[in-house]
Amino acid sequence: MKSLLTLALFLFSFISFGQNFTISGNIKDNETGEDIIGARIMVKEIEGKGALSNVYGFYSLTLPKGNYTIEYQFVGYTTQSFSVILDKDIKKNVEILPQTEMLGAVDVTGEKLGDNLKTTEMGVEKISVKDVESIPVLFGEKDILKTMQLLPGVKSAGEGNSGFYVRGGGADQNLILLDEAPVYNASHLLGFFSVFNSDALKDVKLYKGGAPAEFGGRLSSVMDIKMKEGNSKRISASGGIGLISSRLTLEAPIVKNKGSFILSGRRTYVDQFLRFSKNENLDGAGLYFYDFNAKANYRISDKDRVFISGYVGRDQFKFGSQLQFDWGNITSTARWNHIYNSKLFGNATFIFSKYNYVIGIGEGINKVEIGSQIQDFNFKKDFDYYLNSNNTIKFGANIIHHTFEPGDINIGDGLGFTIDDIPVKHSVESALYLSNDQKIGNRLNLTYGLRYSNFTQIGPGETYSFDQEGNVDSISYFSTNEKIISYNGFSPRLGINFVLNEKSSLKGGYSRTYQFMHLISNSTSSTPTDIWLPSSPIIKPQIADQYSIGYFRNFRKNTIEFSAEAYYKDFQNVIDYRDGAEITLNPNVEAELVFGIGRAYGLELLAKKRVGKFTGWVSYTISKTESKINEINNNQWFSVKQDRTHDISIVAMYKLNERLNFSTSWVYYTGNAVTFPSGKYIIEGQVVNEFTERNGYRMPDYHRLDFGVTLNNKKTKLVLDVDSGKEIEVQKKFESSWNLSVYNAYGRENAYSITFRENEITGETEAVKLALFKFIPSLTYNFKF
Amino acid sequence: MTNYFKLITVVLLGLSFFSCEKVIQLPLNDAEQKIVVEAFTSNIEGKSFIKLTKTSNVYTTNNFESVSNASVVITDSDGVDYTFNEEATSKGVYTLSDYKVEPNKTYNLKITSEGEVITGTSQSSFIPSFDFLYAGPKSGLPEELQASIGFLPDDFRLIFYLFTDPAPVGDNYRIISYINEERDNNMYIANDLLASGEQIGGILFGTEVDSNDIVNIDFFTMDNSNYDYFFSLVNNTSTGPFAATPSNPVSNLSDNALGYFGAYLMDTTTLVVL
Repeated sequence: MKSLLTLALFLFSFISFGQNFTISGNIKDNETGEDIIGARIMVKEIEGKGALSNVYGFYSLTLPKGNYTIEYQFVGYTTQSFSVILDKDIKKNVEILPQTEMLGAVDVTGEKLGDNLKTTEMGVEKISVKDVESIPVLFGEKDILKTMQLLPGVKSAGEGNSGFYVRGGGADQNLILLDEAPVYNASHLLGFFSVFNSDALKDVKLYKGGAPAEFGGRLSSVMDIKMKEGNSKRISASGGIGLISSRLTLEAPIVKNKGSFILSGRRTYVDQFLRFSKNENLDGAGLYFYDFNAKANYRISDKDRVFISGYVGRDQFKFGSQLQFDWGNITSTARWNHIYNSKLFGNATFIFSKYNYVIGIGEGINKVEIGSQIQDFNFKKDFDYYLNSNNTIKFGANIIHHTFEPGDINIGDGLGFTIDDIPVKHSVESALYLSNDQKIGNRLNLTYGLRYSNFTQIGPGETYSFDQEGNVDSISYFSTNEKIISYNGFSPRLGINFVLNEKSSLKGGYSRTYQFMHLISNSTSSTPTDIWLPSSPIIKPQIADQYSIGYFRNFRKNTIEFSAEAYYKDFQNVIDYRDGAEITLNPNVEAELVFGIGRAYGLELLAKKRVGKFTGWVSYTISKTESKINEINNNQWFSVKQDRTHDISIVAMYKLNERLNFSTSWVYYTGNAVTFPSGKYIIEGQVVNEFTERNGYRMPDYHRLDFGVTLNNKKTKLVLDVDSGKEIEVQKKFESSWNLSVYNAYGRENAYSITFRENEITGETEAVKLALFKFIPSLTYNFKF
Repeated sequence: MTNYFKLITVVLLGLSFFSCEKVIQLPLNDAEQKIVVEAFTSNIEGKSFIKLTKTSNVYTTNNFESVSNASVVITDSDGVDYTFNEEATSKGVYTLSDYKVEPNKTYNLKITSEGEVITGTSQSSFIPSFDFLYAGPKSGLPEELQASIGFLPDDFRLIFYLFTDPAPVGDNYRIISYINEERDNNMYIANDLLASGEQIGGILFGTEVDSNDIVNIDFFTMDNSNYDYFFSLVNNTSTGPFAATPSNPVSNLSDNALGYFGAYLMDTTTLVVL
């Protein structure tokens, strides 16, 4: 606490004395009324002074008394300038116009496209609604989350697996926030589709480590997803109908320019096509998912705005009437923005989030149902304080109540046995943070902050302690809200940006994070059946320290961006399972866990071309992640499952003309680290595999080419102009296009798993590879009005 | 237009393939050869043996080398040594004709071969017995037992067993069954962690029996280290993407040597399926 006070005093010593006034307001898109996040507000007369709009489109800029030309800029929009006489605090709301075409007639200036050089943000990948125009299309949709996996340092968990890995961290180390609500399961349908309809999203920012102090709770990344508010000027709709899935988004104002809402939904019907499959086992199988987002916002007054949003997404898999498996997330958020004064912006949020899955085997009175759930209630208060043009301070508090239900078991009466539910666990996770984004001179930019977090497991519940053999040797009982154990810690964050010249900059950073919730999975592939457990007397919080350094350089008037980032991460209290552990439905699963340390390091290279007929990027990551645990691999360092040495993505988009464009992506990565036998022997007449080390082998390399072509229907039509008597071209209100894409265009059978079995005829052992997908084509009709 | 669309749909779907399996060439390291110990000892004369074999490389045929001329000695808690001798007709199999495991004793195994020494310890507990054992159609079971397996048809032929576990926790059981002298390779093991002092029962799933089949049941107790071994052995042999991360079964032999040593107390029963 003392260090927090010291930091606060240090920051406030920067208050300048003199006649300063503030210009503040809201910045929006002229056509849709959407708030613009991260817009740049510059002062023509003073170089280097400026502000950025926050996640609600609010900006505040404090300058000495005088006359200025204020410029409002954002990529993909036409810059607007206004003259202001700043002799008192001014409120100015601005709407900027999107540029219609990125082709040719674009005013490419260094400042607009050189944004990457100016912020201290490193280890960040950002995709906003304008960037979406230029990302590749998969299955007829532009999927922002899937596109993230094409960027360096972010790896997909592979076919058939949900989740992703960032800088070598596990799938549970990513905090995915949809309008501030945590989402526990990131993908639908065997990892193909992300859980959000990208048509409803405005901005997605992925922090690959070194997230600012306002975020905490996961070691490897924060994916901050902001939904659109909804068009507050007129009704608009967009969607697509495709072979595999269809989607629809509807936006409209509640009161023009004051409030709006957005509804967005998606559903697949893959199961209808499984009937055509040659594989007999798939007859009678059902597999579909749906997701639905709803959001509304209303400006109550000049200073107040309220938002309410909700999301529900579900996957359903069934195999005849004997096996059903469904899982999904529900989130809902209520928020209230309040502008206290021209420099202080505050937001209060209340969130509910639930993730669960249910497996059903059998039917009627003989049915066994196993379910698992995690439920959160969360309250946050965040402040943005624009102290002066050189300092932006953020501070706030956050408190979450988690309820973990690792196993809710219902056995049908016809079966004559019972299994007890696995006990429910409760905990409270809270945090306070304070950070400052400071500009020193013209070249140096610092972001520093401190987060204090606390995690307390509370009753009702019981805890077990285990003897050497893993049997329970004592049980302690706790009553409601009684404290079981408490952990806390300080997470400092630091980011430095030094602008070398107008073309390049050097960045560095350090951050420490704590993670209090852990995903327990003992299978070689991640499944929705993995269970979440809170920190406890036996499971200590995981801690990661990340050091990173980067060099950023732009070429050709900032149209080509290049970056090289290197990182090193140190992990403490890494969790793994003892050999032969049984975690399914085990109430004493904590006895199966073993703990140790880990480390990850790597180099990420990215070259990106953002403007012109031909755009795209090439990314390459070389990395290593390993753990060291007493009970595993003879206490020697071993590679973790998701350690992938090389990871290459090449993405290219080509706009042939106004109507036709192509997109293609090629990915290549080294296979997961995996344990294969190095020998075999016989026990009781059965062949048994002999393993000599953990994760000593690699799955075969994975590579795949996706290709898509989009044909836009004519955007203009000829209309007879009454006045002149001539035909003129007018923009059509209804836009549509056809998209044909192929996933895995050269049909490589990438290995999903490899097992060993005896050949029925020769009796010899052989390695058998299971591949999930060859080429999958899809045809989609997209529309917008 | 609609016909064209239908044609495209059918053609496109015909091109997409769903999961396929293929045998591949996958090079593997060859671990150095190790001795594997199967030491099964019981209280029934003639039903104790120690089988010694060696590991082999993964891609060879299943011809496992046996280990001959090893010294195999079991010492009980009274300090008495029992030396097992290699059978003339079965290489690598060591037996001792009148050897019997006794209740509540600790046994130590010592194997010496080619300069290597492997030791192991096992604890014997008590001789178990069935309260109820039945082989026949489901309809022949008492009413209350039929209710617990309601989902099976009446004429389904099964082997149903019930036994009572004595109160203190720490008892582990195994059933090995033979149908017409052919061994059922399913693993039936149980412990009393969740059911101590209660009646435990069930059917031997995976065992298909017909009327007039002759069934031999070996029902025995074993210690915790043997339960851990066979439990983790099952995890090792199941494969595929949802299997546990593979590892060697938890061994009760010195230096994590491959195999197991068990001192079992057995109850054998023979019955004819109704």
